[in-house]
Amino acid sequence: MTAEPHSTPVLDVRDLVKRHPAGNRPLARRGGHQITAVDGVDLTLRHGETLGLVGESGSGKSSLARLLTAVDRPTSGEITVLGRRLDLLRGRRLREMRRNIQLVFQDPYTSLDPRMTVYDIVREPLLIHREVTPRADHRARVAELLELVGLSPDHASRRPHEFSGGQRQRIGIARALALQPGILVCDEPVSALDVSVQAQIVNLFTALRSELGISYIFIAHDLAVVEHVADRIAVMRRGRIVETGTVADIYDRPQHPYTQELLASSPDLEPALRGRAVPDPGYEWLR
Amino acid sequence: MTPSPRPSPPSPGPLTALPAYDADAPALAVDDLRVEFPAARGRRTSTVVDGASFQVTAGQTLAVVGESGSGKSMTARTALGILPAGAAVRSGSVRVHGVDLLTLDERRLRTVRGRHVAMVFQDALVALNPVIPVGRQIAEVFQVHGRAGRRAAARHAVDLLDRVRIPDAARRAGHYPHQFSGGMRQRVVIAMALALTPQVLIADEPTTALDVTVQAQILALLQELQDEHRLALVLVSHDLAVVAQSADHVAVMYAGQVVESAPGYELYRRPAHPYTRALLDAVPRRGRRGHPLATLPGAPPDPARPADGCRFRPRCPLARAQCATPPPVHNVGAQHTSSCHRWQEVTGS
Ligand SMILES: Nc1ncnc2c1ncn2[C@@H]1O[C@H](COP(=O)(O)OP(=O)(O)OP(=O)(O)O)[C@@H](O)[C@H]1O
Ligand SMILES: Nc1ncnc2c1ncn2[C@@H]1O[C@H](COP(=O)(O)OP(=O)(O)O)[C@@H](O)[C@H]1O
Ligand code: SF4
Ligand SMILES: [Mg+2]
Ligand SMILES: [Mg+2]
Repeated sequence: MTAEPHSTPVLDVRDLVKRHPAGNRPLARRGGHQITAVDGVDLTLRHGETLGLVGESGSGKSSLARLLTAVDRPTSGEITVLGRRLDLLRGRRLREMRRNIQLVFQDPYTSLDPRMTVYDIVREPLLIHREVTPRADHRARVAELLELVGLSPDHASRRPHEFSGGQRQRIGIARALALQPGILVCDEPVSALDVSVQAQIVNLFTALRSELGISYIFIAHDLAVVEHVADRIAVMRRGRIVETGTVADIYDRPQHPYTQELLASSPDLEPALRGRAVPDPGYEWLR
Repeated sequence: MTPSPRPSPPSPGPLTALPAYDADAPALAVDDLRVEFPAARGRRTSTVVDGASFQVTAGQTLAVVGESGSGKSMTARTALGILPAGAAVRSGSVRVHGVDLLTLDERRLRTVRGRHVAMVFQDALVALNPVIPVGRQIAEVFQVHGRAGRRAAARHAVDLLDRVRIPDAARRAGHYPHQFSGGMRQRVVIAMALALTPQVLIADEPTTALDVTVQAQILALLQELQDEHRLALVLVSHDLAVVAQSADHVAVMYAGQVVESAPGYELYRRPAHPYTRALLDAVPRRGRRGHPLATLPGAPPDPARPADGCRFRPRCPLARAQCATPPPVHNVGAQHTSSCHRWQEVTGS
């Protein structure tokens, strides 16, 4: 999308593995099996770039997102964030490093604490990382963050149930931006939303990128959405990245059969619109 | 896939005995339906379905499309007689082959459910009992309706699992819901819905919780089953792209009303309501990378405080003073209606 060269890697992942004991999975319990959720992943995210990560349910996308944001620790492998080995850090240094790489969750309906006000939700990271914003400036900073994501500062005193799905996702994004991270890992940020609201959030991510220079990992199971936001795409299946390429590579010249299957299954409006009588794009044109 | 014999001969069902029954009437016709949650302690009356009309005939697919909260599920539930507590039908009719279900008593309605009209929900897990093998759950449907003995019912259940393309159906019938993937579970639910060979199948966002690859399989399955059984299929979705391949006819709902209704090929190529165009433009489309997506600003109105006149007015880029009066239903083409004063500007005619 942007023409700048994304040369410096801000995130580099080598041979990353995460295994879970399969204890609570009824079919796999026998034999003390382990589930390999992430199975030797390599990937690089460059400065200012958006990397789309797609794959079917259970392919390990969320598991990878949790490793990248140090919510979970890897079984083996290396994660380098801004030149520092995230996987080796512990304690205070890990906490400091976490500021730089924040997670936006999939489900706007369950990821916000219903008892907290919007102000408390967005401010929470500032209380954990006290060095970022002086306490006296918290109100102003929260107001600024809410405006940045298209909400009104007046919303600060309300609670999550008073908001629609799209608005809740904006609250989650404001919270993730509170610490001015260089990298946002967005785990299916629009999958639970209506198409009309999806478009608003997708455009918000694009605007934030040019405004704040953020680099994104954007996870989705729908290829049509990531085509709009990503520069490069990684296709994940059964814990592995099976194909990586530019958006043009993946959409116009998919190599892996699984990528081809994903593309073929993705709902596409084009055939239904063929021979359309009205100019395109229509709604904007109505203005 | 070899076609297996029908689990039981298509039974006429309990409606055929009624004088109003008319085999030639549409399989399902909803007319001027109004559903509300009446005012209660400190809450205003909330009209969630507000004069909706549509119909679907045997062998056809009707897609009902609209944003979350537009009243799609409430309309579907009314057709099945399973409204949530507190909701009340204020007016209108829901006719199955001419018989108005809203006039039937609960006992009769129970026999209609499943045998004439069946429903598949978004979340398959809700519809299944976690502690009973799926084969037995399907068999119970036959037994409850007195359609088969225990042995025969078990055989029918396996047949049905086979029909919805579950591999190794005889063995899988003994498995519990958690042993199936999301897509396979949705197949089980579809099998259960088809058990009593209904004429109308309402699928409320049947693939919204599923992966794209699985979604494509389930949509294809519904189309195949529809052909086999000459079902009247009502496919509910918030995404016009999802139903684009299957819909013979589309009804677009906004704030409890059907604002546009058209044959599928016509709706996508010649939309005649600004809301339909907005929904179309919000769909991420292949090959338009780098373009910002057209957004639809704002949110649907609170059904307890509807705007006067056109419900879409606060979000509509074409709104003018005239839009303060409710738009009539305009005929804008063959079987194509739009409730917009300015539909001609939308179609560019
Ligand atoms: N804490 C855990 N314990 C055991 N297994 C786990 C755990 N977390 C994830 N898994 C397993 O790891 C695999 C990958 O799961 P993950 O949630 O990362 O998939 P995903 O690609 O995000 O899927 P979705 O698209 O459904 O969100 C799955 O088989 C999952 O069941
Ligand atoms: N149990 C309920 N109590 C009160 N309002 C409800 C209830 N169920 C649905 N509604 C309201 O009815 C309207 C239509 O809902 P629904 O039919 O579920 O929409 P859709 O299926 O199109 O998303 C919404 O405004 C919703 O908030
Ligand atoms: S009637 Fe007016 S406000 Fe309503 S959709 Fe048409 S132009 Fe827009
Ligand atoms: Mg996930
Ligand atoms: Mg619904």
